[in-house]
Amino acid sequence: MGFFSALWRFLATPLVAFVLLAALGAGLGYGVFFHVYPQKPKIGIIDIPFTVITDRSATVITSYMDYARNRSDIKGVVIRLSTPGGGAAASERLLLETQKLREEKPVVIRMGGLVASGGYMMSMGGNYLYASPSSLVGNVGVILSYPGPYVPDPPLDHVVMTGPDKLYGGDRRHFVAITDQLKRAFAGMVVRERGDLLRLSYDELVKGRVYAGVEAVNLGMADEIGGDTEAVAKAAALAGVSNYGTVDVNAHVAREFNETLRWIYDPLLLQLDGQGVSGQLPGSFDDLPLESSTQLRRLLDSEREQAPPVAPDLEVTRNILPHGGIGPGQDEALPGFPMKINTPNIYYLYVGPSQ
Amino acid sequence: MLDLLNRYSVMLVFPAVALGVFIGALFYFYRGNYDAPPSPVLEARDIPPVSSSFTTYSETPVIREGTLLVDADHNNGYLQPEISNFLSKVSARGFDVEFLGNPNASGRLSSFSSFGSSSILGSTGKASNLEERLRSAHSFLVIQPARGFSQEEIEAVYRFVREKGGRLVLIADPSRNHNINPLAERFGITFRSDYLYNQVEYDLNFQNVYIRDFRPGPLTEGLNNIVLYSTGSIESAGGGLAVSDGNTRSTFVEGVEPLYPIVTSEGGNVLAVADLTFLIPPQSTILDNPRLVSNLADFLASDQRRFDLDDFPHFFGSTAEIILGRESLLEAGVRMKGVLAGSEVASEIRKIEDPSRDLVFLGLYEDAYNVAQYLQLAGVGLDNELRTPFTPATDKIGTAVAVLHQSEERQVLVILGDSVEDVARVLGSLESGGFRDGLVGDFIGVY
Repeated sequence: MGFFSALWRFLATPLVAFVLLAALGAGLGYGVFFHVYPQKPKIGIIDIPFTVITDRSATVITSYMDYARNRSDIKGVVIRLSTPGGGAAASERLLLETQKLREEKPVVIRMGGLVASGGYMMSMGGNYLYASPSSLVGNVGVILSYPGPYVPDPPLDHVVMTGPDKLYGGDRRHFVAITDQLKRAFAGMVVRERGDLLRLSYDELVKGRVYAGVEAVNLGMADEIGGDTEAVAKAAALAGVSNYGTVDVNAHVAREFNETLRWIYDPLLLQLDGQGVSGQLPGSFDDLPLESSTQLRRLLDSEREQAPPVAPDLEVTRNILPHGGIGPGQDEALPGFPMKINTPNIYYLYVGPSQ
Repeated sequence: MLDLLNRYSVMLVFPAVALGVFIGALFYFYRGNYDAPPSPVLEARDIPPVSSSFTTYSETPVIREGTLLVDADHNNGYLQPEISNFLSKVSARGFDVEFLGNPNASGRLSSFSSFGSSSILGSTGKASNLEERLRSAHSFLVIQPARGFSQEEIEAVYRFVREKGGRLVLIADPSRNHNINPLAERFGITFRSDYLYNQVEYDLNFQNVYIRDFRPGPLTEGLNNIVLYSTGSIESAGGGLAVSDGNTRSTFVEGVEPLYPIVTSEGGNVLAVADLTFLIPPQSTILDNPRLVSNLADFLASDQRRFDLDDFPHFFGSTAEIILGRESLLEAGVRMKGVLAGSEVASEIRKIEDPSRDLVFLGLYEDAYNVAQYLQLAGVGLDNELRTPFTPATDKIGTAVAVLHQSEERQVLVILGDSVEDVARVLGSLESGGFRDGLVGDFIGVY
């Protein structure tokens, strides 16, 4: 008791109480600032190395942007982008996702070797565009592959349809008209987005040319020549932050993804152990690159065919595997259907020479 | 009381320091706010649907007998459904439509069903075959030949146009593979492998260009605005029949210059069009395209073709009569009937001439008085010796002569010989085609 009484008397002295309370206050202020709100600002960096935009790659890129948007300490985002574009709907999806991200945090696009067509459309969702001098930028336009023959296809004797366009959705002219509409929408969006900065007429824009980075900046299709450092600094300036850190968004998403994999597959591995699979798997899922997940699933699927059925719920994993694809392939979508089912064939895609 | 206040005021240090640290960090890390710019969206209402102007054209074609030969022997890049509508229009003008070669085996022709009086001819592709087919043709349509014409074939077509007045239409679309220039260049025409486009004003797509400037003529009659859906440009010394406007450009030319997607040559007997799509429904129904298709059908179904003796028996119409100079030539008459039947010319042996019908007269020199007017007009004399404007006087013994007389109303072929055997010899050469070796002029042969 004598010890505690002496300690209380010591703490009750004004100087000690002052220091103690100041330290606690400093700890509280630090804790609230850095761990609750607003936290130390970070600039998230999303790396999209040369990627053709498809439904699958768009899903992965969207997951990066979702991560950056939802993490409160990320105050600005730099997207390192290099893509020739790809599917029309997938490209538009990325435009909308980029715009959605921009509504909350500044997005700076750092263009790589090629940002064309659907890739350029996506970059229109950014606040600021940096190009390298030799970046190939632009290629505004639409490609429609196989719009059908000039003469409308004759009726099929083994198919009954309820309207003249039910089967094919319209004749060639209809699809050509759609293509032109999409081109005008794309170009119109670029004109509105770039505004007065754009020093290229609408007619020139819809020619679909790509421009070298230096010329793209002169024409107002990009804002400035610059690299990663400038892009990160610009994102920070737009966000109004200083003394910021950076976050590798790809790595964090990959880690979350691998944790999900572990959650799903660890019980399976326990069941499969001793049946030949575990010997072929890496020691840890953390060692797995993202691309290996598809191989892993194939491996597990093949093993499942050979081994007794141990994982009847494996099918549910299809819906949470960004890299594994969702749903069956087009060839097996409707087994026995009497004709080929077409995949989407409208593209914002550049197929010309690259660097 | 004051002591108590001082004692508890120490407690304020805690929130004050916490707030101070927070604010200090805030100022250290945050210098401003982010104001998100508005996000432009794809304005659907600003993008009206694209549509075309469909029109109809009621035609009243002139009916004529004749034959249109359509090339299907050079891996031609078209499908039967693409041109059937157009060929039906030619058929509606009374013309037979025949194919050179087997359209089923040709290029893009995957299916073929005959229409009107069309027929499939031999597919050897030899120059002699083409020349033979052209003998019966009034016009020749060549679309998108992927395999080039041989030099012999080119010369046969050239003679068909130059010497016989046959009409030739060359169609080559830059979006499809073709090798039409070896033939076209014989007529001073070169199809360029560019394509035309207009980004200011177009039908559905920038490659679908309007053409509004036409040189007056039968082919451009009634045309104000046509649309070509995949056209290139053509160079021709004869000049363009249709000219592009100032907004239409070629992929071969940086600037703007007059571009010709439709040209003529050889005094209008050769027509070249750098587009196939305007013939194909529904493209053939946009703006004045129906009228252009109709004019083109009129052009091909023309009666400009001149037939000479070497075109035997195609200068005859569908029927003819055979008159014999004497009964001993009855066997020759029957043989001639068979020869004509082989070329779908129905004939009958008669005793009295019908001046409204085509005629074949078979006789000996002694019977020449029956056809003296035709011989005289041809400059053929049979007094003591055989004389023609093109040969020196010859002894009549063992000879025969064939004379073709043409008029607006009828064709008259006169075959006279020194003997029945001499007449039979001429008939044999008519059957074999060897009679052309004895031609001494366009309308006279000596055997």
